[in-house]
Amino acid sequence: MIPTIAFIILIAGLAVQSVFLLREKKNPDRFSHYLLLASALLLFAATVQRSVRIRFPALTGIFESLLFFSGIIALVLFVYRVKAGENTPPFIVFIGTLFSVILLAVASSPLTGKNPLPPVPALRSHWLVLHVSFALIGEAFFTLGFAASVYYLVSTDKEKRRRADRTIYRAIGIGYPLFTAGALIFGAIWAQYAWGSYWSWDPKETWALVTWVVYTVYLHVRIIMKKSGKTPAFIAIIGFAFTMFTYFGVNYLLTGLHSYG
Amino acid sequence: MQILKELYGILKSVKLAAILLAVIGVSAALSTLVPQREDTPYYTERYGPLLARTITYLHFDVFFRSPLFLLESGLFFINLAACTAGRIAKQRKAGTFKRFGPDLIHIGILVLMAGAMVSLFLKEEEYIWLSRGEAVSLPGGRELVLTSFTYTAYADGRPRDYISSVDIRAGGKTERSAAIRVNRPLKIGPTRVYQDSYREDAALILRDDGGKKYAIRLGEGFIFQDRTYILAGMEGDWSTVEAGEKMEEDTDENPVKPAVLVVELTDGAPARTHRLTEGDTVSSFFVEAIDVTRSTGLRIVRDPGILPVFYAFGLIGIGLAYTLIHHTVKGGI
Repeated sequence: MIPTIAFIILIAGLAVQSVFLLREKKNPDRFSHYLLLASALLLFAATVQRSVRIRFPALTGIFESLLFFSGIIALVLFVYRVKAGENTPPFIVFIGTLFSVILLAVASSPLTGKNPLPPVPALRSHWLVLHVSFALIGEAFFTLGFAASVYYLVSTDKEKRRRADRTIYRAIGIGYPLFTAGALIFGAIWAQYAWGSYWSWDPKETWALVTWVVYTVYLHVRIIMKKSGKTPAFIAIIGFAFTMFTYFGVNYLLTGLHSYG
Repeated sequence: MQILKELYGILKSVKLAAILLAVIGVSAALSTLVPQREDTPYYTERYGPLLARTITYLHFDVFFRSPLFLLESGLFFINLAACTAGRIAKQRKAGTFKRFGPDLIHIGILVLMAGAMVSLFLKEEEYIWLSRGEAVSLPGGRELVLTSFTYTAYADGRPRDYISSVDIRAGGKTERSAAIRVNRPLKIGPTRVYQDSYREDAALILRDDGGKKYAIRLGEGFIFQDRTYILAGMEGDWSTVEAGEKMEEDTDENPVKPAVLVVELTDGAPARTHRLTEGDTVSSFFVEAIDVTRSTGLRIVRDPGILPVFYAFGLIGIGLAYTLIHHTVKGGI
């Protein structure tokens, strides 16, 4: 019930943003980000409720990770909107919100099991909770980076591009250490405790590493080679495509140890 | 001397790093499209003889141990080492170490790769199955004895927990007793023992009219009056049933009464499935007992690479945190 209300609120936020975008308003609307916050809080409440029911942090299944991921994206967008103020490009928030809505749509589809089930022994680890939560928070920042990259590529205005480039860099700059810690380090520590092998070259691990490599290349191109513009924006888009393939594609197209999420 | 300088310049270049990372990324991604560690006939059947030969020739079937991957990784290691040395030398010359965050990350990755190499070549791993009372020898003359194995399941049949209680013995004496659970391995010196899996086996004890007893194990069968009976499987939650115990009645916690499934074959084709519990009859046989044997699957691992890898995680973590904080304070992020 709570995720459904969050879903409706998020769609309402998206509708408000669409109207502003279609009217080609320069400034963002003054309302929809509060809807994003409300949706995020409801999704976190749903996570807490499920956690109480299964007596373990509810992050071990694909449905639960989708709720959390969608909530984190909404929260990141809210913080971004508040920090950027009137300078927030409506397009970036719209793309991010749309993505958050898509995640909840997938969560509500028959592709995911919705019954709150207590985890099997291998998933009963606090390292797993850190692994999933940090990775998803990092990926939420990558989503913002992706939205800003698309905005960069469709914009023709120099000032808009400069701001978008800055947003991409900031989003990836924050997301990268969180993703590295969550997806790679905490995941490896959990695997070591669970199976005695910190790295198994399972397809999901490999794709997470490939994703990390792409964002590593982005940071080196941006910081060391001091390139801004289309090249880093393209790399950020490739990185996000790989992030999504690691999150969804590997589960459905390739087989491996991460069959549960 | 000039050539060496030029070589060093190439080796420490960021461009080379970007190219190597791209090559590693692409080849690693491609390898996930090929199922790893299968036999050659599997690849031939799946991809045809030419592609199968290419896969095995290039070692794409064991890609992460292949010469190609080791070469890519080796070049990247040299590139990163040269790059890091260059950065540190530059900062030393300038007399400032304000940007040591990325250096820590780079050193961490180098230590991680070195640790991974140690694991690749020196890791020892053994997988064993033990039933209650059975023992396995450990390095250093010790012995691990399984004293009990507890398995519990959720109401829907999924495993809730499985715990191996063991004694560690040396010279005939018990040094210590311990429990091995999933995610909580037992440490014995440099060796770690992991709770990996479990399996259940059942034996159906039948008695005929004349009082003679027969024991049929899982997968085995017997022929009676031109009909074949095979003990095909177990059904329900056997987690609370120990060998020799009476089976529990249905409860909310135990929704499907534990039973064994016996398939009756007529002319080689399945004709009927008998769901049997103690006291039932099949043909003219009385089910005297159902003995359950439960084995634990333990993984015994000695990995000298684990310590450097965990140190590397620490270095990378500190480096990332420092870099993020430094850039945030500076206003870069």
